[in-house]
Amino acid sequence: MLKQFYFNQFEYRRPYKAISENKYRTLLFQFLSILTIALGIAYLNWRWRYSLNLDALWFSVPLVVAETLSFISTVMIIINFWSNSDPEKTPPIHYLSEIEDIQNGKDRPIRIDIFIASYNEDVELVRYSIIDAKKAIYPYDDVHIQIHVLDDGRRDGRDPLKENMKKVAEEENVNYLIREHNQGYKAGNLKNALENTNGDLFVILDADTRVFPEFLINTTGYFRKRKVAWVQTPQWFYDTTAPEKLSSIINSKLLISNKKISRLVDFIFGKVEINEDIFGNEPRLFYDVILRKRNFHNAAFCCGAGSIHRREAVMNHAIKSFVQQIKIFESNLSKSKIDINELHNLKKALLLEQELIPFKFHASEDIYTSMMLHADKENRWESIQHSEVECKMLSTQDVDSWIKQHQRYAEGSLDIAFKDNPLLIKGLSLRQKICYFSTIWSYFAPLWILIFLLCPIAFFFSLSLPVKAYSFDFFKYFLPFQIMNTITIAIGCWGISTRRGDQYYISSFWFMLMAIYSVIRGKKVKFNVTPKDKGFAKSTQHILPHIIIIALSITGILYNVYLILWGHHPVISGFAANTFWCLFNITALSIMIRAAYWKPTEVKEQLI
Amino acid sequence: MKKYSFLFKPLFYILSLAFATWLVIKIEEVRPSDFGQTETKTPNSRITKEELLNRKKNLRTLFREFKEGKIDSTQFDNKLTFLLEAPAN
Repeated sequence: MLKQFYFNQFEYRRPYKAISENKYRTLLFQFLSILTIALGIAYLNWRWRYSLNLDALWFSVPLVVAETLSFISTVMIIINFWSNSDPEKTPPIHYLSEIEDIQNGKDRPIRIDIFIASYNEDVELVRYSIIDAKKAIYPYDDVHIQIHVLDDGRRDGRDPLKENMKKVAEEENVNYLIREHNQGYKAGNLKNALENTNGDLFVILDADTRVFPEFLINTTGYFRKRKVAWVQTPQWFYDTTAPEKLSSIINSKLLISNKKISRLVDFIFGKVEINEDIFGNEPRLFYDVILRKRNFHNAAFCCGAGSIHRREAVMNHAIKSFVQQIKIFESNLSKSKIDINELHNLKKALLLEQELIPFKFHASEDIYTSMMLHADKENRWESIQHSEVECKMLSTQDVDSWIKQHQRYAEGSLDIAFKDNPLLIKGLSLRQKICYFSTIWSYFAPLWILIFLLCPIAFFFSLSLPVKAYSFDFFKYFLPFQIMNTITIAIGCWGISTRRGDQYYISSFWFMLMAIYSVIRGKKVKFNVTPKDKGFAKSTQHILPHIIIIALSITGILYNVYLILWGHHPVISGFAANTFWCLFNITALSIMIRAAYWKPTEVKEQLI
Repeated sequence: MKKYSFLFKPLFYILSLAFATWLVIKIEEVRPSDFGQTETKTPNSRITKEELLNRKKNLRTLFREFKEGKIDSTQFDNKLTFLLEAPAN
């Protein structure tokens, strides 16, 4: 009998179908994109040259800078979305010669390894992943598929206080791999696995990643193309929060027990549902649009779980990095004045000390390694973002975990920007550079989001406008650009709601700012394992900046209403525009507050 | 026709770019008057010097008549309105 978890109630859920390609939609998107860029340039030209309020440059200049930076994001998104190019699906491979040049070597059926990386997760949760991996089907019996549990938590029974991962692996009849340290975190764990296995292809799964039976059938065929280094499948979170009836929430919050009133509330709000995916975990936009459209640029990067790799590619990269490192050390040694014998000995020691590192030892090892493989001029490795969902995963279940996870992504990506900026990496094509840089650039967004959040507040209390006036000219440049931009992005994300994503894009500004600050300070990026269980504490501290901004905004609006009522308000048009803008900000920020205080129905019932 | 299909995309992009440029230029030219608001004309723009002198003379006469009590305030107001709203010749 398997241990029961909260996610068992979501087992019935089925993944989405990938959005089908449509060449006319792509052309329409490209046409609208050209219009958006032209209108954006016209708007910014007018903003910089004619609209600055010279009496309030302290306010006017930051806003126009923020608008310009945001426009750069838009342009990069447009380049990312420019076209679709899903690779052709082919049947699964059987023999090694189908994926590699074996020359005069003896051909044989391929070998596939499935790695399940684990650190401190509940071993019974990992059991679910093992069971599903064992259900993976393949049409050729002689193809050797082996499952390995990569335990980085040393849970082999030596510590009675820890659960026993080894025992679970043995019970499920899969291989168990362990190491005595945690060097390199997940990348180090994978390195250890690659040193102890010999699959031609290997699948990376996290402790909570549960593959569907056809995973291998649907993904191995791509490797017929010799240049394909890895295939990433969409990560689908099947445990996102279900929508709740607004009437039920009102009834429970207000403790309405009267049946008549309860029925009336139900009559008024009965059809309204809220709180669907309250944590904004649904990654469909990312996998089905952003990453998938990068197939066109050969810039889809690996995201770890749910990916399948060609061993030859990562090992080739590891050897090259190894040689490069040795060369650097060697040249440094040669420069120092040491006698030849000692130099020889040091070189020998270096060779022994240096290690082959297939995946970069980094908090964002996936994107970092992807970038390096794409930049390999000699091999010109290619990547594929597979369109259909082939596995399911668990999402973060409270704001605290959500923040930890997203801060790690942000810090990792920003760290890459400062250490190995993709724009400066030799070997990447211009389009690849733009795509990688676009990912990193998105983590700088809180810098301009903060300005957008503070501008209405600055107006309410200073009564100065960031533009000369909200004149006809302002609207004639602003509205066409803004409307066209919205339509273009909607066409680009065809079939996917971006509402929750937009809200979190704004409301995560504070944590992302902290991530920027942390990386600038040179703080080492930690690899925090994302908790996948439910904890409902420590949430209020995270939303303090949100509460302050909302409170200031509301106070500002009330103060301006007071001025209007007493006939002292100098720019009522400014009040109208900023109030509208402010309400939009409040709506976006409120999602984080709602998420922080959200509890699932069963917990609510227990509390009552 | 298939022979020239490779031209389709470049042509499409060039035409899109041309349309975008045209649109931006048109937006630059848009004025409030295009939305039904009438343009305010400065009094000096179309009135000749002779006309201006005539108007001045008429106004002076009107004020004198009012001061001398030849016309009452209602008549003064009506005549003044008539004078100010009279189109330029």
